[in-house]
Amino acid sequence: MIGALIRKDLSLLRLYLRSLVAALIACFVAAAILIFWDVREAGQSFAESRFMIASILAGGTPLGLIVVTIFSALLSGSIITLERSDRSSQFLACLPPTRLQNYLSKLVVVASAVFLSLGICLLAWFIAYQLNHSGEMSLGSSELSKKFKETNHPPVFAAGSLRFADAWSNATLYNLFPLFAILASTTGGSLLASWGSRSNAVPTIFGLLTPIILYVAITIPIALLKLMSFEEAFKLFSFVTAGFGLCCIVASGCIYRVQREF
Amino acid sequence: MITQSENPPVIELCGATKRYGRKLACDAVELNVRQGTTFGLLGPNGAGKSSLIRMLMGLTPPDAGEVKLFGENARVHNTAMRQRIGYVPEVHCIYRWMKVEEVLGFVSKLYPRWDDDLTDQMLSAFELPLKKKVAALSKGMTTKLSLILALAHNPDLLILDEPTSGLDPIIREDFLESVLQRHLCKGRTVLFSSHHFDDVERVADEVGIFVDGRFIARGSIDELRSNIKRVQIVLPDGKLPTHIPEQAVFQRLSRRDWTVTVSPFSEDLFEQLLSENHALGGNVVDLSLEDIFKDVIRGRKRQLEEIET
Repeated sequence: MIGALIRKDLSLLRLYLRSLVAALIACFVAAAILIFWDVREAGQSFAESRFMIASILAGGTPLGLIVVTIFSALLSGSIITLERSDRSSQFLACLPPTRLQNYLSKLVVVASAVFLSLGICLLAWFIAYQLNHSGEMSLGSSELSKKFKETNHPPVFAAGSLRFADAWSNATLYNLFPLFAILASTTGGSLLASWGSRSNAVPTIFGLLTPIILYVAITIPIALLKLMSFEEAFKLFSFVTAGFGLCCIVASGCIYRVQREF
Repeated sequence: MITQSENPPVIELCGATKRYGRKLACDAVELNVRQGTTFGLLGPNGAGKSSLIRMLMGLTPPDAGEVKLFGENARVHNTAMRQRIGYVPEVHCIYRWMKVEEVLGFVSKLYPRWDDDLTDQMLSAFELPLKKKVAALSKGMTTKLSLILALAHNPDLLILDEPTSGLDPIIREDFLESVLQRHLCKGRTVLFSSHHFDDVERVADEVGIFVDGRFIARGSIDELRSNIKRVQIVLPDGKLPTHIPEQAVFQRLSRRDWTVTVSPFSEDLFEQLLSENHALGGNVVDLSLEDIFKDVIRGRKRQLEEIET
């Protein structure tokens, strides 16, 4: 039964899911164009083709993460409102699956799409790091100068991308936690805001604003009152944001279960 | 041998009340529909029929009272209970972006008793295009799809809210004579709301006339016909009816001809009407279900107008 619901919810969001795939591809294409233009403008060329691939993958990753964040809000803001706007939620309510099963299926679809696209971005980052360092022993150094044939003025964007690729070495689960927290809050905020709207615009905007509002609400008073260091304040923001996001997901499920009218 | 009256109740409404703001859609409704019964729900537009059906389907909760299906609270969503119910709503909300075959594929996975052969039979009878999107179907075609979805899993209880609206006469005939009759033969319970009196007359064992959120007449069609009759009386010149019985549901006076619909009717009441009004003559007319409905509704309307004035 859950399988049929998941297939239905995937079909419901198919337009958005296709857009997500297209947007992720566009991120890496945009990074490639920028890097080729940047390298050519600087009159440089890569010492090895793997550095070029590494810089494209690493350059596309931050753009991809922004896309994943936007789509986490859009997908979770649409999965409930699309059925409410055409009243097919009434059709669904008359069928055998319980409301909990319906909600879980929606959550599985949104979470899978977000985690899969996040996984693609992190994989691209990881590959970029590996390519950047795979021949390090033979080169004897990881210096940026070794990666371009002409080393006087390394191209800014390409060099920056390769530096970002290096940052993977610090990308532990602990360091990536703020990213997961932001995605949880955009998803949770959008799902919760779905209950006041028949259109997906309001929940999506609310979802995107949720981590920003929380960031402002937590870090600014702390900075003004000098209660703790910025690192500690950011850590607090991450935990509060993750907790808020998860609470919103649970609260949204509870509302879905106990709602009186469809 | 178990008779129908000994069967367990499938639908039970006990003081079920539903309000939308000031509007009272269902006013402490009491109803018992036993297993194997086909109950015809008749009522004018805005009488509260759809609200009653939405309460049965758990789409809207009663403000007071209880609504039970198969002995369980209809509000509590129970998968096993839902798998025993087929529902055709008045307004179809099937996924418009799905193709007909996708809808059938999705819904069939939710019912363990889904009958593919029956689905194929109904699809060919209704000439429904599988590759077409629901959004591209006409109202009649969408009704046909809704009927297939409601019937193909052989439900123990079928709830039909205006199921024949939008169907052309041939398909309507086919649905009532073949599809629905076959379903009824299996001893299943049906609650059938319709504006088509001949449809209800053809299939219903019991009928309820629902007006302003309550049943104002209820019983088998034969019971209603024997209880509610129209008496036509010829009065002497210049005379008005002097004795209007409390059983009068609706009356109309045209010159010397006084027509009064009474419930419950009895021969004694007829004799009483003739003698007390000094009638020159009179006769009793059997009413069709449609005439009963019209007279009951008109009488109720007039009663309300009198109360207001």
